[in-house]
Amino acid sequence: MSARSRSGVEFGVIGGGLVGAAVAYGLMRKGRQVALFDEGDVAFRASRGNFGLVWAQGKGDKLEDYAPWAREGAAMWGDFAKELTASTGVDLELEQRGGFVFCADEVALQARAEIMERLYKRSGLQFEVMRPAQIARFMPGVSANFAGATYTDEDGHANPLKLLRAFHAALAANEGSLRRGARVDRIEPLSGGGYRIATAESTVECGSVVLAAGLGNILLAKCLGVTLPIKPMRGQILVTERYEKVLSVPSENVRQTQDGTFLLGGSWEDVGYDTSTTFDVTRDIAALVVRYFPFLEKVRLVRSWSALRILAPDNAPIYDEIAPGAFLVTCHSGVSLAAIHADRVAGWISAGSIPKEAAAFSLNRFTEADRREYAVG
Amino acid sequence: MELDGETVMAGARDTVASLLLGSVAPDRYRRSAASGHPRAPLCMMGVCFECLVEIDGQTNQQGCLVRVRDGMRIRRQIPEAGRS
Amino acid sequence: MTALDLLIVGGGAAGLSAAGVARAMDVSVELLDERPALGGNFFAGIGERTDGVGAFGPDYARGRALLNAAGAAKLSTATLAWRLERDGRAFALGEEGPVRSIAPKRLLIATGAMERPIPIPGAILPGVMYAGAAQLMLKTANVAPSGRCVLVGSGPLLLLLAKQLLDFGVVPSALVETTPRAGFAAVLQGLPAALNSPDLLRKGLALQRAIKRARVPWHRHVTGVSLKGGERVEQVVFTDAKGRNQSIQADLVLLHDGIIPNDHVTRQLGCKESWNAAQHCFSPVIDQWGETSLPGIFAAGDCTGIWGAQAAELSGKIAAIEIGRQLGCIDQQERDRKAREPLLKLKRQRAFRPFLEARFPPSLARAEQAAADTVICRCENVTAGEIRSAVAQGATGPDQLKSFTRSGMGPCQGRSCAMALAEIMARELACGVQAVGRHDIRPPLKPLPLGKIGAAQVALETVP
Repeated sequence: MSARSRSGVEFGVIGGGLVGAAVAYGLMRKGRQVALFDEGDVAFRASRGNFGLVWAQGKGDKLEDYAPWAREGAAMWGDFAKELTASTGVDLELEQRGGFVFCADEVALQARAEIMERLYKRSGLQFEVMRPAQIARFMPGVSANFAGATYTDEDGHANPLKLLRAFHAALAANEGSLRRGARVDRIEPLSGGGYRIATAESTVECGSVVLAAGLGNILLAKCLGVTLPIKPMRGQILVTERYEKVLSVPSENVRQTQDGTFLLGGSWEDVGYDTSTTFDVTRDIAALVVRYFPFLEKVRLVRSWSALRILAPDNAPIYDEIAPGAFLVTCHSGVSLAAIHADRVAGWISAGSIPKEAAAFSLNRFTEADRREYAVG
Repeated sequence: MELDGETVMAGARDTVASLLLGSVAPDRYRRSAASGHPRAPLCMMGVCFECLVEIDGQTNQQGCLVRVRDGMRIRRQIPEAGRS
Repeated sequence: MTALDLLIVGGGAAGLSAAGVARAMDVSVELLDERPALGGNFFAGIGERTDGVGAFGPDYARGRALLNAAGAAKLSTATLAWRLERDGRAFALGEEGPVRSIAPKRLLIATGAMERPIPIPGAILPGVMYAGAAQLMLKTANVAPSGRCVLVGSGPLLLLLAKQLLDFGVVPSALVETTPRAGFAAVLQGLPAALNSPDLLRKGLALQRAIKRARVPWHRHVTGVSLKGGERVEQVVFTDAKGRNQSIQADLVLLHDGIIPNDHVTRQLGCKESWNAAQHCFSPVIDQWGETSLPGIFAAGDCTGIWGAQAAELSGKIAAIEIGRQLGCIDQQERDRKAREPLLKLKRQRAFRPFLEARFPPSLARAEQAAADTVICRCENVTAGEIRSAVAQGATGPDQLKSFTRSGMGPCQGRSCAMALAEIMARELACGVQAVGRHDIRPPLKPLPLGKIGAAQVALETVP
């Protein structure tokens, strides 16, 4: 006997992480009827491992069109946060007062400055190269034991967990928009247009479908005959106990949250779907941050965890219509791009097509070699 | 040993937490960094983290797990003891 | 790396017993305990008492023999095992010195029990402690509470503590017992087994007589307990068996509602666990020798389920015997011969438990009924109301709940709130506690300074 329920919806968004939730929230704001399918606690949920940077600097290194996109995404964050907080009461802890990327030695700093210069020409994002003594004005307690950093005043940070909660709260307030514990097993095109989304409990028919399930997109895209060149890239993150507020701006390796805890990270490991943490990386991160900030020596590590970034060969997002009415949205910058996903990307999907100016982010930018190397699904 | 700059005596089998419980009122033990409320030891077996105290310059140590030592410098984690 | 045969985490009844038995088979052993002295909860302070065992009796004195036998092992007290790997490796940190990496052939987790966390209104006030805390201070420092002391809750240990306080000359102001009236069927169910352990039954009755003789005001079948006070606890407020509201002045409130496995280590390792409905707790799945779902990693004693100190000693012994066989010190026949008697005795010890479990179900620690402003997560100060609203906003599991509310993110990593979160969530989502489960435990098991971790590079490289 089948107890499957049937219901129709305009847009089915698959993936309850930051990317899917941003698109679903954006569609809902535009008055569209949305169902967001959230797998729940068992999901890899890269969003929970997000470091929380709202970041433009350095993005676009391998795909220059990404540089102005990321910059615009960061610029939209302020208004976006105000609106989301107003409707949900969740403070996203947004601060956009600048941000640093530290470089251990002169060679790295030189290379970093060259990239930033190149990206400035494309996006107009101004930057400075600072030495430790200058950095100390923003980050008291920083050591002199490294070459320097690049700085922009447009970067910042927010609380990714609060952001996810706010998205879910906004969707949960709208009856039927948030489907909890709903792992999508497959999607199939309907003969008259639209798609059927199948979970263990039910099937839902929708006019358009959005694939925003992170690494889960690999299997979903396969349902539609498309191979995605994305793969997991593990990042390990450490969090400390609370400490008096000393850092007013974040860096790529260290940021102090509004609670006073320090988030420490920056590891990149190509280890497949393994979400464990390792002693070696924990130690390396601890050693590095103590080198940059000697006062952290006595601050205690409280927890460590890891998450899988969803990485394309050029580290940039992919936006594409992979079949009529089936939109792919994937990236590893769910926080930085949250505002622009909720606004522009949701707008394209709402209008039914991805415009020409976004063609740079389509799947066909990848070569056969990229696809072979990255298709690990 | 020293408690907030003043010399105190303790039994050889005291832990830092049991010493403090005998020396100060429970509402003067520490304040929570999260809520600001006074908190004091609850379990004395290393589970609850309510007995946190600064010992020899290292903050947030579980007082119930640390045996007192000669010359130890203990500071309560309350504003009156010089910490916020 | 050192070629250690067996690493034991936890130096209570089970760990000490296993260490002694393993050493007798010529298994090399190191035992780590985060506390400054061995003995765990039951045998706390046993190694340092110069004045006899006092009120704690012959059961407590047994700890001396366990300690002596374990003395042949390397015993590292005040040493935290802060990270364990699924291959048995452990990273440890003592009060002094660098982080150590230990790679044993077998690992035994014997982390004992902890008080069942009790999230009732006012439980966070200074002057509120668990009964076990008072008992530990009696045992380790000969310190008895002063002032008006009120015992609140349920369970054999609460009555035992009342008796021990009386022996120390401290008369509690009141005993406020939340144990419900004995369900007739439930008690009958456990009775046959209990009658097979007449000495245990007799001990219980003797406790009750001693308390009555001392004329301690004893309120039974109490409900609706809350603790009141400004900066510290001042009153215990409750509804008595006749439905009258009562209030008792207190300087110190000692809470107890049974004990549960202290299973943080097996959880960090990712050992398979199951829900024990009778004991109302989760516990790691083990075979009859104590081996967990991870080959080569064993667990013994109360961290595997609440069976008491004597059962813990036996299960430590049994695990050590099987470890001896796995390491080739004894053959299977010898193992079976050595294990026959402890296995039998263990079965007898466990037989009494269903009676206690039926008689003393959790009655004070009922988080699912907690009022909205009751603090559930002590570290991050998260209330029951905030947890319920996060569930309403889409938190579908314990990890999502943690990231939405910060409950369980503080230094205790949910030791105090994980069960309560599961119970609240189960009620809100109308499912069982076991279906909700608890959030993941991440290394380190307890906070430690970044400098110690970062410097470990050098220390590890020089370990032979």
